[in-house]
Amino acid sequence: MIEFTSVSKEYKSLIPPRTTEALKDLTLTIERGEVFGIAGPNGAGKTTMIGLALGFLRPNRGTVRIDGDTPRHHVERHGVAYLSELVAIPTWWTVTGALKRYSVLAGVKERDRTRVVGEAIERLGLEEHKSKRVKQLSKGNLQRLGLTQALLSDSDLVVLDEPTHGLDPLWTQRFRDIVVGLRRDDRIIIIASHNLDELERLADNVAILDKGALSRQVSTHRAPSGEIQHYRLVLQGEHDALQAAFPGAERVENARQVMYDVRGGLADLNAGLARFLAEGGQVQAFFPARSRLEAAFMEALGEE
Amino acid sequence: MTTLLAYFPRQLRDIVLTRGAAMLVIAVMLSLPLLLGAVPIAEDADVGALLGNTLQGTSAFLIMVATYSIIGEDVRRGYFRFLFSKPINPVLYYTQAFIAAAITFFAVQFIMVGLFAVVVQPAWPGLLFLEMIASFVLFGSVIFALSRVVRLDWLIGLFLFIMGSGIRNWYPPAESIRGKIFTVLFPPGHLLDNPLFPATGVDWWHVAWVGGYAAICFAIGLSLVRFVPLGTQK
Repeated sequence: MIEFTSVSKEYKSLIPPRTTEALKDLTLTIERGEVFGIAGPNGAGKTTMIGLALGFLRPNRGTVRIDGDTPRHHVERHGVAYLSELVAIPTWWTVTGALKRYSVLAGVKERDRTRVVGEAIERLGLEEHKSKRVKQLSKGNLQRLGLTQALLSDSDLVVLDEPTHGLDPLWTQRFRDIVVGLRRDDRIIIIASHNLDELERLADNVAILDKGALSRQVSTHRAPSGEIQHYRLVLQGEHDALQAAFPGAERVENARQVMYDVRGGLADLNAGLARFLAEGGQVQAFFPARSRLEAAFMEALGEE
Repeated sequence: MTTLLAYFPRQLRDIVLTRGAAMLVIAVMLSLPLLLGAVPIAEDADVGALLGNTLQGTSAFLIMVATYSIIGEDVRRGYFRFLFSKPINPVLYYTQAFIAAAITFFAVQFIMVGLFAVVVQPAWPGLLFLEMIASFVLFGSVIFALSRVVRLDWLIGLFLFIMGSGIRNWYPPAESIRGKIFTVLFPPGHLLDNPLFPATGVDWWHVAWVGGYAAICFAIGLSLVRFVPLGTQK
């Protein structure tokens, strides 16, 4: 379990004299078995929160504990599978060389090292790049190398900061599969990302940070049935039965298709849809206009 | 601990490859007059002492190259994030890095002894090798501590030694309390101006002073690694 208790973190600069409050009075708990997302706009404090969880930073006020231990002590004893936002690896190292080095530091036994590194290279599709130097890698391949080094050990704490940054759609999907495969009852997985869709798919809970404060914590599991939902309906063409089926439906302007915004509880929306189809309406698509997380995010930031 | 020991050959390789070659080039260039015979060697000259003095003369430059940014580079470039997310102790990691820098420094000096033997004549600097060890321990430790705090650690280290020497002239320690304080605070580089290990008898108080000052600087460097989080911006 990771506990942030009333944590504040400030960065101070002397020239010009300035104090930036990166985190303000943050209190939250991340349980084992959980995939925990951290969302927020740039400068919201996501990376600072991760730095504190790994002991790379120390809070000005409050405490951070991992299973009751200080983060640095915990990391030095157990290690963390960590992918940082900026992948910084000495550029003259080769891909295989870098992974062998990190595997030594991760405590992989010498007899297993070649196998573990080989499997990791294969898993993240770096076979054709394994002899290249780090400086020769593209952004996406460097990101994959960063992810590979993180996954060399069987750590019970996985921390991924903007993990799909620079990855193409194929590897973004594969990354998601990898995270799903990493889920375990005794493991905490933390993902910080700008990508709300990604967090919605992967995380159980998401903390939304805004200007260093915890704006809200959202569960990505199914919404309560009574909650008002905002859906989007795409029709084959205009139909008279629409307003009767979905009272208050609003035409989406400038859409290239015949598209309406509809709102209501899940049961009302289903009933409306059934009625519209029964009246001969033709539906091309029916999907949430915004995910719960996206809606919460916009609300937290005071946006419509 | 075992994990870090297993990593030591790679640390050593990194320092040899990234700094050792530059150190060798500098050592050869600074010793060129001696190697090319531009410095006449009298028949009865103590060739070992001549070689020792030449190597000692290059030491400061080599120590700077061996130890500059030894901690700071990992912090500035962000390498520390992947390194210290692994189950290792940064204090031991940088102790090993310093040892690797020392080995590289002495390896270069040994290569220079070998080169001198091939090009000029076989000689051994004798006790002057101990002077080089003292120089590395003192100057290297000062740069090591500065490396966690400032960017131009080598330049500030050099400046501290020069300032120490100047201040001792302006405020002789025998004449005032201020002089005594400055003498204690600044690196005791003046003790290396004359042989620390002369054949006629060693002043162990001087040796202890150099060793103690170096040990304190090294301990400060390690304490900064231990107690100032590595992600703290410099």
